[in-house]
This record gives sequence, C-alpha cells and structure tokens, in this order.
Amino acid sequence: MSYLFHIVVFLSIYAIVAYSLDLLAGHTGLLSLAQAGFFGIGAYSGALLAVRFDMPVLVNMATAAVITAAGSLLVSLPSLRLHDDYFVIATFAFQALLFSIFNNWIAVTRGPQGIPGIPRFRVLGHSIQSDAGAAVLSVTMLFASGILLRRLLSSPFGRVLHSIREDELFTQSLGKSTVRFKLVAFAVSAFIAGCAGCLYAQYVGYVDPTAFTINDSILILSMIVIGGLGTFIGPIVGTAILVVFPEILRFAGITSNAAADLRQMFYGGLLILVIFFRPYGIAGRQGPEWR
Amino acid sequence: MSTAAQLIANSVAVGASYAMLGVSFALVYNTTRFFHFAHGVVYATAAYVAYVAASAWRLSFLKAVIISAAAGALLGLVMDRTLYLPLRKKKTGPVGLLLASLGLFILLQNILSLTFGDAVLVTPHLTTATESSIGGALVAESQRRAIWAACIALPGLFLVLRFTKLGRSLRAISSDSELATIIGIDANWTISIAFLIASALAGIAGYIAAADTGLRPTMGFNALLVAVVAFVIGGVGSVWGAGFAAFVIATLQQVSVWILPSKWQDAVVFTALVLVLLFKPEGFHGYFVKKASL
Repeated sequence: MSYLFHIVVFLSIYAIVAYSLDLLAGHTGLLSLAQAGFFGIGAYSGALLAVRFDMPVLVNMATAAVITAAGSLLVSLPSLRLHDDYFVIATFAFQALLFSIFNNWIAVTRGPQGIPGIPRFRVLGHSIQSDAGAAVLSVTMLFASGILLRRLLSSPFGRVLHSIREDELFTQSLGKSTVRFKLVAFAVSAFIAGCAGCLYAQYVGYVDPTAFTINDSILILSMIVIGGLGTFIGPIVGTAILVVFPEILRFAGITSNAAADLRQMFYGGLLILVIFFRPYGIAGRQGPEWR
Repeated sequence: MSTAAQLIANSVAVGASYAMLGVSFALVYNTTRFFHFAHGVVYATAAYVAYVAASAWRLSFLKAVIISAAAGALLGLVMDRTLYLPLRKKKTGPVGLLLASLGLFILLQNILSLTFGDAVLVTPHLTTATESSIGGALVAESQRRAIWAACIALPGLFLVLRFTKLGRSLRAISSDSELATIIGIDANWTISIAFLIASALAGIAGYIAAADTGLRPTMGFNALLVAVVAFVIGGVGSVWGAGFAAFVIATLQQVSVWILPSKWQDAVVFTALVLVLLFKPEGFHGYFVKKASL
C-alpha cells in the first residue's frame, strides 16, 4: 500500500512540473529545456529552508517558489530576445549552467554530496511522516496548480499567451508587450515548478544534483509532448505513462541499473514514436501547429 | 615563457577536437536547418564500436580510428534515412525534428549504458605516458593525435566542399534548398551525405577522446554541448566559423582554468554562449537566422 502512495506522490510532483512546462511550451510556444533547473532551484531552496527553519509546508513552498520565480528572470531576460531554435539552445545552456551551479557551488548546495536529512512536511503543527499523508498533500497541490492554471489560461492573460504562440508578430501589432507577457509566463511556470521542487525535497528527504540534469529536462518535455502539448489532461497523461509504466519493470525482476536505463530508453523511444505518429500527443487535439 | 607556450599548446589540442565537433555539427545544421542533438550520441556510439573492434581484433590505433569513423558514418546515415527523412517528408518542422533528435539521443545513450555499463572503459590505446616538448610546452600523445586528426580531416573537408561536385551540392543545399532542387540536386541524398561526413568526423573525434579519457555512455553529452556552443558562437550558416569558434572556446577554457577552479570550466563555456546570444546572436561569421524555415 505504501508503494502505491509512493507512486501517487511521484506522479503528482512530476505532473505539477509537467503542467508548469506546458504553460511555457504548450500554451506560449516557448520550448524550454531548463525546467529541471527550476525544479532544482525549488528543491534546493525548499531543502535549505526546511533544514534551517522547519516552517509549515505552505510557507516553505511559497518561499521556495518565489525564489525560483526570481531565479527564472536570470534565464528569461537573456533568452527572450531569441526565437525558436536559438531560444531552445539558450535554455539548454542555462540548464547546463544551473546543473553546474548545483554541482559545484559546494558552499551552498554541498555539491555532489547533496543535502540530506530534510524534514517532512509540517502542516498545522504536525509533521506528516506517513506516505499516505504525503500522497494527500501532493494530490492536493496538483489539483491546486491544475485549477490555477486552468483559470489563468482561460483569462485574457491566457488568450494573449495563446496568441503569442500562434503568431508573435501579430500579437505585437495588436499592441501587446509580448516580452512582458513571456516574462510573466516564465515566472509563473518557475513558481509552480518551484513548489513541486519543494515537495520533492521534503518528500524524498535528500536532494542532489543528479535529479536535475538535462536528461530530466528532456524527460519533462517528453511528458508533455507525449501527453499532448497545450491540452488540459495532456500533462497528466504523459506523466502517468512515463512514471507508472516503468514501475511495472520492477515486477519483472530487472536490476536497478538496467531498470533505469530501460526506463530512459522507453522515454526516448516513445518520444520518437509520438513525433512520428501522433505529433499532437496522445491526448492532443488540433493543438499548436508543429512549426 | 613556458606557461604561455603550454597554454597555447593546450588550447590548440583541445581546440582541435572541439573544432571537429563544431564543424561536423555545423555541416548538418546548414543542410538540414535543425539542431541534430543526436550528433553527441553518434560520437559516443562510434567510439564504443571501435573499442569493441579494437579489443577483439587487436587493431592499431589508426585502424581503430578508421573503424570509428566508419561506424559513425553508418549510424549517421541510418539516422537520417530511417528517422529524419520520413519526418521531413511529413513536413515536420525544426521543432519536431529537434524533439525526435532528443528522443534518439536518450534512447541510444541508454542502449550504450545497458550494453556496456556505466563504468569508464579503457581502450587498448590509452596512452598517458609519452610526451614531447615543443617550444617549452609539453604535448601529450593524445593531444598530438587530436591535432593530427584535425589537420587531416578539416582541410580535407574544406577541399571537398570547395572543389568537388559533392561539395558544391552541399553548399547549394545549405544556401537555398528549394532552388538547389530546382536545378537538379537531389536534396535528400545530399543531406544524407552530409550526415555521413559529419558523423564520420564525430566518430574520429570520439575515438581519439576515448583513447585519452576512456569511454562512458554519457561522453556524448559534453561533446554535444561543445559542438552546439562552437556552432552558435561561430555563426549559424558558417561551417568554418564553428571551427574558429571552437578554438576560441578552447582557449577561453584553458585561460579560465588558470584563474578559476577547474570545476567551473564548463560553466565558463555556457556563460560565453549566453553572452554571445545576448550581444551578437548571429555569431561572428554567420548570418542571423531568426526562424529556421525550410
């Protein structure tokens, strides 16, 4: 039973990150490879805050998320004057840079050794030690972010984002400052990813740089591409497939190392297949055009 | 001063292997207009194949490099014919191709990991001992190999691009694919050949690096980063710009090791990329491609 809760928690956390990237990639057309980096900033911030101050989880999460959103400016400000391929490359470089910081800034992040002993969530004075409690919390956060995004994207703000995705020049000709909208989209996306990062840190109890590599960025991007960019259930579908399916491998008695490789092979292969046969994703509709 | 000479020697040696990566990556981008991320994993796979062959049949270093080049070429060709070409026919844009390339990268890298394990493998041609002294700088055997390879491969490529019919086709497709097709050049085969040549270069660079620092399934990633950075800094649309930028990056890295702890080497390269993207996004030799459109 505990195992099932564990899956639910991981599913929820990664679905939240997937939603955050979908806001950028699916709805605004900004294909970012830096999301694992934001996830990491949230995780490290949450970890350090929890270890030092042990505040209630919502305070912790909010603070970590704000830090991540602020950090996103460092990425978005330089990258947003670039378009398409260049933008992707810039985010790629930033992801590598962020990883380098996580790995080498020993004074703060303790580098490859990571930060151990992160306390579990504190809600209303009690520490949630059980996996069931963690599952409840993460699913709640997933719902909260889903609803938040839903409202955001059906608002005028969301309409502008969609317009930017379809034709940025045209949007500018309507008088919208597209750069400002994109910066806000980035900040919101980073905020949500930061929340997820804090959840991750406090659930696993240990953070190290290897959870926030370019492979993880590609993985998160795969989740939304496979699930369906810019759709409502797409990110969940993609996350479910990519998180749940490899767990089945566990029951096939495969060694841990081989399982990790097979899982990633599964991601890569599925991504290729989806681009080939269903470019709009499994749950996709007539979504953003493949440009 | 010996330090300056050493700095120059190191920069040239590192730049040589970076140049092979940057130039080959640029060759693919110019003909296909998308970022072929899987280039990194071609580099790695070719090296592993050569390792297997060299260990099994006790091949000389030269033969191993040739096998690596051939393996790379074959893999690149297969990638193009089985994946990219069908996607191009379906009118998949550069973004879709990039994503497919990412998928390919992850898939193959993990096949390598599964097959060979994650531990560092040592080729039978590992040499760390022999060094020679040139003008006060110590040049290791592995560095000499890289310089030799670049001195042969890169001018060779230049001659091909400049003086052969194939080279003209490649340049035509890079310049204006549609127009080239109209005058009778088979775009798809020319692109395949571009992949072939570029992947062969990657294979050569791969095995030389493997003989220097060993084989690891993730070795392709760092190579890819270097290739991409050299390409963007050197300028989109210019194969030789990428080569030049490769030497610049190598020098930057070597100088930075002098000043900063060496663990920040890679960060220096990425920061340089970001700065260039900020202030001179068209790079130094290329033209500004805002939106890749084919």
